[in-house]
Amino acid sequence: MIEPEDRIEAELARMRPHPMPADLTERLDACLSAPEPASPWPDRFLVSAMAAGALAACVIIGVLLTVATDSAPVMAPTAQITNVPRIGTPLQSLAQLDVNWAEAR
Amino acid sequence: MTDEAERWRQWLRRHGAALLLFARQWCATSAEAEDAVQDGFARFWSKRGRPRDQTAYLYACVRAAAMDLGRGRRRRETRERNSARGEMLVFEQPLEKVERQARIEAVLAQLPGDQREVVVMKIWGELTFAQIGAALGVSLNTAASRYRLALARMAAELAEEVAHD
Repeated sequence: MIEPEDRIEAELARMRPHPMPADLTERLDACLSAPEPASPWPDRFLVSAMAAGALAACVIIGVLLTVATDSAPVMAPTAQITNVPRIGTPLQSLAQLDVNWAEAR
Repeated sequence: MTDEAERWRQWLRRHGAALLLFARQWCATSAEAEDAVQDGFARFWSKRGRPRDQTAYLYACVRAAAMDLGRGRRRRETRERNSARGEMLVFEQPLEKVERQARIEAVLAQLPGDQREVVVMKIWGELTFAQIGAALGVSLNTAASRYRLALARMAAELAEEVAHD
């Protein structure tokens, strides 16, 4: 026995929808015949290459700046020179010597 | 002309009527359905390399185009009512079966939209449930279940009419 659903299914399958109108077929044909749009991949590669180049340039500049800062001549700290001969030093030395001599006696 | 274009030209020759009928489920008029098929096909053609199942993707594109066309103009309920009541004769009808087919078509038009579109895709589009699921964004089981529900509903409606006659 045929189920009612199967019967309906068979009846539906026998029904033929109206064909596409000629003007729609023409419109779709025009779509199929249209020139292929340019692939976006070359553009993407170009943009990627430019971005990578810019990034590399930034890194190089950064590195150069860092190196330049590290190797810049640094002013040596002013040395504390204590034994610079000054005016009067010989007298002080003599006086010290005198004190030492007197104490030794 | 590329081989691919020729292949799709042949596909349209064979399945174009079903695609138009599918669009018609969401459009109030035949002219709007034709526009939906054209818009949907243009969308599909520009991105045809991406999807794995091109036929399912084409149906999805046409459905989206049909809904876009209808969205701005009316609400979904109105659209379904219009498509049910509007231009009913979307099938070729041999004279000896005019009455029966008109009944079937009327019952088909009264189905909920989600069941009706599955029936159209399955019967006339010759899509598998997996393809229907992919096109509608539902699981294979949901598509199959909607189809069975639709057939059961149609069978019940038509049996009721026969009983009344």
